[in-house]
Amino acid sequence: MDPVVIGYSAALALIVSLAIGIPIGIAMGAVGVGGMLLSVGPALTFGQLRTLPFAVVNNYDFAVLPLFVLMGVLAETSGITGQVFYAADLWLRRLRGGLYQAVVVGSAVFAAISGSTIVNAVVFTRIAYPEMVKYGYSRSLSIGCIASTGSFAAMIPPSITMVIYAIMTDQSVGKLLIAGVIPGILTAVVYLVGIYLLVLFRPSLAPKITSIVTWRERWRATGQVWPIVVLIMLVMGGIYSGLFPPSAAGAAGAFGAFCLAVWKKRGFTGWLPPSLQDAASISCIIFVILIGGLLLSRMLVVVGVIDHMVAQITAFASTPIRFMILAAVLYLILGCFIDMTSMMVVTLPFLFPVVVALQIDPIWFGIVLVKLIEISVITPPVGVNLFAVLSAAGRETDFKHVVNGVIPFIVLEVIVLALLIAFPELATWLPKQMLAK
Amino acid sequence: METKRSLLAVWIMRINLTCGILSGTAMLLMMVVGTADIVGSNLDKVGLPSKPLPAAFEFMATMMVAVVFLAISLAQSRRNHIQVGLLMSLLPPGYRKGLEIVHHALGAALFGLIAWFGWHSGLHSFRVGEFAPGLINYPIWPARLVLAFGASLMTVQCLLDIASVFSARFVSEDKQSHPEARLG
Repeated sequence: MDPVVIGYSAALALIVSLAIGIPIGIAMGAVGVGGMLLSVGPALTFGQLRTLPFAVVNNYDFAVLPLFVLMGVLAETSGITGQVFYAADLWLRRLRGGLYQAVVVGSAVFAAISGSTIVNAVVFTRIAYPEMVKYGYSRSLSIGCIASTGSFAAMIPPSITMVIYAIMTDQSVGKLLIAGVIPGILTAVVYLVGIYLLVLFRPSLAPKITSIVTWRERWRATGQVWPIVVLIMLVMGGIYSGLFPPSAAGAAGAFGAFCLAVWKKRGFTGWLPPSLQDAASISCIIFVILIGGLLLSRMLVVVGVIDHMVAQITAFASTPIRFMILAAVLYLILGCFIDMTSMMVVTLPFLFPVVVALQIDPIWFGIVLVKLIEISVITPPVGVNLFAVLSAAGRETDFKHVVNGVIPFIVLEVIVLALLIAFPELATWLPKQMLAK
Repeated sequence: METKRSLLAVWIMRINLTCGILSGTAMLLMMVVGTADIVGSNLDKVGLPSKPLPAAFEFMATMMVAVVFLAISLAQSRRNHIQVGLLMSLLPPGYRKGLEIVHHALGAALFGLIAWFGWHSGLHSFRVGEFAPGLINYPIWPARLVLAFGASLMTVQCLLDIASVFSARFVSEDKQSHPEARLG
């Protein structure tokens, strides 16, 4: 059969399978296997089925993913997040709108030990939102702020999204993780400035400051959160210095979070089995999607459809910048309908060959992609973070509050996106300084 | 009225839950061994002779297979695998049932194939004593057999899920789903 026909049929089959609700990993795997059977015959297809699933899971380098998941789950279980938020609040209380700023800082710090945007959003809805409502902060902007800052976890390492991108595109996990540091911090800074200006021009969004905090209180609260700082330094420092590979950093980070949980929970009872089960279940779900995605991607390669697709797309977007803008529009539209992991795994087999053909830096593309994903999780109507915060907030908060609340942050995100596209060095400079290859 | 559940469904669920516990344990072992290996490998930084754990990488890779493939079937029984399903909610219940059969049948077919080839290469690997060369020769066949077992269990679970569309006796009892799928 003509490879072009197979390529388009595969894309169509995939869209139909997803629309009728076939689990995404199974849909991609089935389309991949089906396409290979029809085009290159059973021998090659069965060879792939024999080797690929095993090669993906029996892989030390990919162990970083479940270990980062475990680290995040354990850190959340330990309850240290609440203390981080409290400390940030004490430091920022003198600012009008200080609780918004505390959410930004707290979320960014928590993102440095957890890789999931949904967990981030849910945790802060539980610990910060009731406080904000109690002190008379705008319900809408508060919940919008929490939903949006939750997305920091996708960019600031350890990011599960970044590891998935690295696996799908065969890039260095360590370099990608480190590449997220500057864009992550940049996003947090843009949020802090944006919120400051917003509150300056619309003082009704935040109450007047009345309470006074002593330096003693501040330092005492900060003293409570030192383990988290040690943990972040250990994991990031280890990867950056090349002292140990990302998987080992993941193991050490998970172990640190484990000790933290044992300490804060005063023992082992009650929390360990559910945490392990959660982490294993999440990892398994992601790897099923990865196996399916890689089968699909292998099919597109062996069928020989990639060259044709690259030619088609590059005819449309001939320069890297044009392609980036095209990709941005595509992901912003797709993000309205499907979740981020799926979106990335489904589209990368088609788009990444174009990235290579146009000689776009894969790390830069990865960072821009993650930024787009961050935006998509807070874009109505189906941004997952919007539903995450809604499910965790009380009954007085409805979807309209959330949607109105995220709008200013979507504007801020688009500004950061434009900066990242205009200045690739924001993403590529730090990984180049790394000692390890 | 409560339907009496088939013995098969009850036992598959028990096996799923046991495998879920094993998967979590594998994760814990990965964490401990990975940490011990770092500590051992960096002992020279504090003036002691460095002692990396032999075959730590290979062991962690085997544990990865256990983490993923022993939890697949449990995730299927709880419907935790991610779906998009834009059309599903718009369809009348009759069509939805039909589509559910398609979902599970595709899952059974894909994992049936993975299981089939998994057993094939797993048993072959066992017979020839395949190993990863290193300080100690680390056997590969256990990881291959775990993959084959997990994929087979997933296939059986998918077939059971097809049966459950027709009769409530085959519905998986443990429907606990995770409110926060935590995939972000």
